[in-house]
Amino acid sequence: MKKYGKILTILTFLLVLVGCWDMVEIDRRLFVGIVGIDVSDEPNKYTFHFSIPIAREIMGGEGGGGGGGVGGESVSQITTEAYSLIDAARNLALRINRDMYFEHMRIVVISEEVAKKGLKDVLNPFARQTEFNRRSRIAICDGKAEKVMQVKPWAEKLKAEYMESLYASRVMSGKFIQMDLGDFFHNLYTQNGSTLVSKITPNGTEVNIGGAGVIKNFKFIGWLNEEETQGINFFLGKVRGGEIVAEDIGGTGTVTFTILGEKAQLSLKTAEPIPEFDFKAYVTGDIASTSHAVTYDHDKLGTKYIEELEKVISEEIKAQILKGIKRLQEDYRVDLLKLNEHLKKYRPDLWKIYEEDWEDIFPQVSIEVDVKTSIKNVGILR
Amino acid sequence: MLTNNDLITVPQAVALIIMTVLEVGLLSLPREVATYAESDGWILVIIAWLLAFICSLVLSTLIRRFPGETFIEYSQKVIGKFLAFAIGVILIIHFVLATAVVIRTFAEVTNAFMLPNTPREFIIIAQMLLTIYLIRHGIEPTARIAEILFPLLLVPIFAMYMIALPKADFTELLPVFNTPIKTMAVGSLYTMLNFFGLEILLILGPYLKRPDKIYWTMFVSVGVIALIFLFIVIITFSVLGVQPAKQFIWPGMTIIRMITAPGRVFERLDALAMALWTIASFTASNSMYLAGALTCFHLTKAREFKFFITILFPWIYFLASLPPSIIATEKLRHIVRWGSVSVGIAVPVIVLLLSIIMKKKGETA
Repeated sequence: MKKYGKILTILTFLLVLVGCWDMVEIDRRLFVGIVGIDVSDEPNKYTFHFSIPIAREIMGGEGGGGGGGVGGESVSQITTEAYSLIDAARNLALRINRDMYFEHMRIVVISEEVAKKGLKDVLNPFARQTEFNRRSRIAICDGKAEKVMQVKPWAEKLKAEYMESLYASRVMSGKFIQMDLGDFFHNLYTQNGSTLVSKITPNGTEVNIGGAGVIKNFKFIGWLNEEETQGINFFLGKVRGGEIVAEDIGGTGTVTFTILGEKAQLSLKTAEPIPEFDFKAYVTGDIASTSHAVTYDHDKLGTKYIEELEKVISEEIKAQILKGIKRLQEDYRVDLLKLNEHLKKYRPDLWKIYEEDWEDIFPQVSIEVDVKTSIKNVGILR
Repeated sequence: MLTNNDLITVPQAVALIIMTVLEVGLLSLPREVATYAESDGWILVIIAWLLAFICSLVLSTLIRRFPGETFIEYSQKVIGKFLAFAIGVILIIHFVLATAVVIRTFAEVTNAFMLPNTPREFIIIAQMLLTIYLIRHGIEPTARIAEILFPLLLVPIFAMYMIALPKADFTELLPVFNTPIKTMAVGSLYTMLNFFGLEILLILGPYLKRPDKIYWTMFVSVGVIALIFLFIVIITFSVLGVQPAKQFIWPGMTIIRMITAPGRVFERLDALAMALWTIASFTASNSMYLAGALTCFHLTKAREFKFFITILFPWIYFLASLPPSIIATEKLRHIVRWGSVSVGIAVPVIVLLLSIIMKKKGETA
């Protein structure tokens, strides 16, 4: 009898303690790849687009001809109007029988219009709910977000993967803003609602991620072009690759310089009455092409030409940085150069004085930019 | 069962104390210190360390003074039977509340990050059943489990947060010493509340195999706890930033969701993190629950302590499911922490002072 009692106990445990309450079979889920947010005609409402890859279509085999099912689209798009993202997902529960699953979300695209109205309420669920992937990218698009959702990339099957891998190419270019949702919220919280954000421009079969959007006080206020973006990236010490094209010495053509890395250094020069900063950037890279046949003298191992080139490139980088600074100071009047953070961290006493009206002080701050370039390699041509 | 004489060795005591103090509260620690002192938060941890160390000195001195005696026994000698009884009852209430809060917080975190649809009551009961199964066997197995789980918890925690290091920006820790002294003092007092759990030493006394080594035991355990606190606060500040750390309820967990293991071997570390916090809250609730049952046992001088576990069960379950929301849980948590300070510091200090004045000592000291 005792034996049966024990077996019964174990069986009860098996019955009660085993299993998963939150189990959802993988084929019951819809993996949302892209979330797009547009303004709606109704007040306070937004139009939400979800781009969802269809597993069975992707499995259909690459280039297998018309083997796919109906339409053969590998990615489908659902659109709904709602007050918030969560509201939208719940709306869709009336229309689709599967669970929307955001843990593999790759990119959030917000239209210019929505961003202009303010990002606070739209973005809140991304930070508040745990179901959203914090490593997803975020971008503001030029025009309607729907256009981005409808892009059909010719190189990749999945749009989400295509766009995400674009943003991973920091070693190829410094002309875009590299950030994920986590970084984005970090910037918003530390900078009082101001940050740079990636820009995305749809164009039929592809998107362009060059440039940046400026967000001030949770509202979108304008764009930076590619050069200005690279300038700001230089200022923030974030450039890890890309190229600089400058006019070659003697006006014989252009020289292309590929960036390998960068180190930035910011220091306060004078504190009163308006702070002045000293900025130094050390850029390293290779010469990829030049209009001259030789870059150094074989016999004397003279490096005069190299030094001159370094100077030319430094000037070009400096010009880009200044363009970026000027735009932020004069047009947007928003401190995205993190000067406020610098003051706060290294001179908290000064920051207390300036904090109140930093918005008015920032445009008057003068920054001395000094760029030092060193050429590491010239390729296999002398 | 000849080896089991219900005495715990020094390493076991160290592990038990550390595992009691380290619980899910660790996840919210960066938020608390950030709110009190912004980027000076890590200094608060160091000051709190010193305070906790002083507190543990008081507790250890009591144990040294009355070796082999329970807290109830020697407080009866010092402050009289009635007061000692009252304190005993307060201790029981405190431990029951503490167990409830630890288990409830664990259930909250699990619900938020892992199992959104699982009823909270179910998580609470499952966790409690496991705890009961263990502590019914007494203090030695409980300490042994703590000893076994100790490296299993610490090594992955360090490894996991280390992965976040490439994202770290240590200038977030600047400026240093920018907080007014007064805020600093208040903040470090509050931070010290994070060391709640040290008061189990009141109960642990008679079960120590080497009460003569208690100072060393306490020095190591408080030191290790503080180092872990410091590590997590610094990593959270530098990876997440001070301002965002204030915004999240559990910044320690939010970081895990931001990092990817190198080479994308594992894209998410959430599951690992949840497993670790399960261990942490399991061991913490073990010792709190056991301490509660043992206090009942000491108070009533019963022959066995096991049935007190059963008596406490409904109360703990009731208190754990009492707070209607997460905010209420946080409030309850706060009450428990203050309770921990009063029974963990104020009462021992009074007892110690009185015992010195009245020149009362244990028999073998």
